[in-house]
Amino acid sequence: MYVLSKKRASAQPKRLAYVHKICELSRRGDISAVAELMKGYYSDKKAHPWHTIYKDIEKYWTKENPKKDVSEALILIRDVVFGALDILSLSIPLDVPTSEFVELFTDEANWMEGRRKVRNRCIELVGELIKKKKTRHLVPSALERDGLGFLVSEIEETELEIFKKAKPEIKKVPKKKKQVLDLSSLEKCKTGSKFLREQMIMKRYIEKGDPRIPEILEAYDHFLVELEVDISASTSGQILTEQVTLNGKPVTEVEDEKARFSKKQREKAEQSALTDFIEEEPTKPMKKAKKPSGQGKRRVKKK
Amino acid sequence: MSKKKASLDSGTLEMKAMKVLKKIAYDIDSPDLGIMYDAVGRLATQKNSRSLLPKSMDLLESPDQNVKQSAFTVAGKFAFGQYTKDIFSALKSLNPVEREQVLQGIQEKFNRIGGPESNAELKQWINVLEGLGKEHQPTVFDLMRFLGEPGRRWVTKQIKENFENISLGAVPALSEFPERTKKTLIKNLTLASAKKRRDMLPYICGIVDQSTYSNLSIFLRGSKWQERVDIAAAVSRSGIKTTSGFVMELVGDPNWQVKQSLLENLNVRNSKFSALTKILSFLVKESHDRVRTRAERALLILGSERCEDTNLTEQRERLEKHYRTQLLRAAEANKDLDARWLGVDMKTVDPMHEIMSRVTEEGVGDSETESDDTPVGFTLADISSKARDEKAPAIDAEEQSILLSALLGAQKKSVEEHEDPIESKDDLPLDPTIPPTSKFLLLLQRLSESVGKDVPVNDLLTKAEEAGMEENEFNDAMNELEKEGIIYRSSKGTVSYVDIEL
Repeated sequence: MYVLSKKRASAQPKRLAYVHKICELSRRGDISAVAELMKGYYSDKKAHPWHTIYKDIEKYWTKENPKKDVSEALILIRDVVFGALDILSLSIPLDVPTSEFVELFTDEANWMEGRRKVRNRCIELVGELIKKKKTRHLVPSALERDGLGFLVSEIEETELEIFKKAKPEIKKVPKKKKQVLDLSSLEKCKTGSKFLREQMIMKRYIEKGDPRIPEILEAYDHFLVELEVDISASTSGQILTEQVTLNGKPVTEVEDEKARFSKKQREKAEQSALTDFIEEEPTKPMKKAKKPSGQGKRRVKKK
Repeated sequence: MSKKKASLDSGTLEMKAMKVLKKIAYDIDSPDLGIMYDAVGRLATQKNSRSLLPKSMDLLESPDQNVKQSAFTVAGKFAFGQYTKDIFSALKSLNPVEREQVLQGIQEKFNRIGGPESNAELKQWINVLEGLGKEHQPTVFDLMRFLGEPGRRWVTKQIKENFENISLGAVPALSEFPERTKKTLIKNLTLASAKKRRDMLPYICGIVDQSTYSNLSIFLRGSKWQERVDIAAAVSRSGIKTTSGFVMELVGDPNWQVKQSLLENLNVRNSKFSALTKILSFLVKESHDRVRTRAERALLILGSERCEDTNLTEQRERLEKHYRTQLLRAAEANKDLDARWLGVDMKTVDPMHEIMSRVTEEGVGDSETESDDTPVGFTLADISSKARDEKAPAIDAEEQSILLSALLGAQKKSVEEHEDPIESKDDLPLDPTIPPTSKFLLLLQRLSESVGKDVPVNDLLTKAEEAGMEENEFNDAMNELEKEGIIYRSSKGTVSYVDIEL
């Protein structure tokens, strides 16, 4: 009896050892190590008890870590799980607890299946968000990085629609007694916010008779036309930062550039005298040609 | 055991915590710049906000420098996998200083939490870090120590294969590596630099410690004495525990400066008493005065500072047994050290008092210049400077009084500055007995206080005539002083002191 209770006492603090391990790796930014742990689940459920971590946290956290805030651990796990599944871009937009995704992948037979299941579910959820016109938190560049780039055009179209709907109108707002130009719905959508920032308008309501009103309405129309003309260049901010090479061609393929850098450096572990600036890169096409393509390794893995 | 109801609802708690991050993401896009900046601030201070990494990546191209910089800092902190690559290629659009800042943010994070451990992440990091130019080499080297075995291998490779490209600033970063790695790295570095780049020696000397200083022995062959001075300093600074052949080679060095450097930098606390006494037993018999007095001083220090392996009583006992004479001599010469343990009461003299008495002696006009009452070593190197000193008294008494009056003038000036600068400085009568050159200098001084550094000759002449100086006397004095290099005349007819700090 004595021996048994002693055993239990020593075993108890270890209940969450695995959780702490995950958190530590998350802090270190070692996402691929966690991905390995997740793969480990399919070969050894005891050593990698992903299926029980949330139950364990709920049961034992207060007992084992009375002074630590559990939400920190929860966030860390969320970060790392989303990161390992290449859906980090959705961590903010989706109001879904991580446990749901963990459950999804632990129900499958192997890592690839589990991963696919989770990602499919995510795409579904994003679809719902788009339907509900809640696209504010979806960052196109991040979705592309996560291999969800096919969603981008739909998102942009939706954004445009929202922006169209949010056309500022002069109306009576119950809070304010006077007639005002209502910009609040513009402010709520991402493109609208961008538009307002460009126009340097910080108020949500502008009183009728303000000399800026016709200007704003005109600017709105311009902005809308621009958006409609070319959705991919919807944000004028991008045009401004577009880089032009010596021969006058705009540098559009950022992806390509990245690959070029990494390729060049893999040739020899040698630091150049000075860090190249992006602008200088196009003048050195020689190096690019030398190295066979080694790019997109990660991309391939994802499919 | 009683069954406890699950006390936490992880899902709700998680979403609650996410709300904070979500709010930041929302506010960053706000048209109100105040809210936006506030959100950026929150983004930068949020501890675990990897979820906001995608958002930060979006801000890396922000036209607003502040936003851009903090986006980079946040992104660097949470980078992993593909993101690391993207961040580092975006990093190239920053200027080197900003880049360095981002790197230091990463460094700080690694320092606090540690680097990644899995090979995939390590490779990714090393890949991007080596893509940076040499200007970031010190930071890159330092970051490598958090990158485990691959990081160590990378640095080793740099030393072995790419040695010419290692900047001097990157050398100190090696000292931060874990003990065993550090040893091999320093060994490799010394081997390579002894052959190819001896200019690196001072930097290597800065990072060696007890376990690594023996590597420096490779530098001894064909070395200049200046190099050996550096080596000796590094060795004794890190503490001497054994009298190995290398250390004894320094003790027996033909150049006295090497031995002096060895003695000057002794790190008693980290050395072994037996090793130090053995070294000193040779050095107290030195023929060179400076080295010998230094060695005696070191003996005295050993009486009041504990070595690593003994205690003070033991040390004193053994010292007194062998070196009583030397200790007494050292106590006499080194008043700044505590010598009471010798049992002799040395008259402690306030150094300020001594200086003052010397100054007043000079003030009286005693022709005798300062005399050193403590014997000091004498070498060829000293002769040239001594010879210069000896010229001074050879110059006649007049010269001396010039200097004296200049000194008095300076003193007066400083007094006047403290009290009232306007008060009747011109009314002071000139002592008719002082030589014309001194008069000239005093007048020049007074005038330059009121006129500025460049004093017109004509003004000076009128003043001089007022003070009862003949014109030819005045010109003679001026010519002489000019010859001496004390004053100079400009083309515009002004006279100035050569000394800038008038």
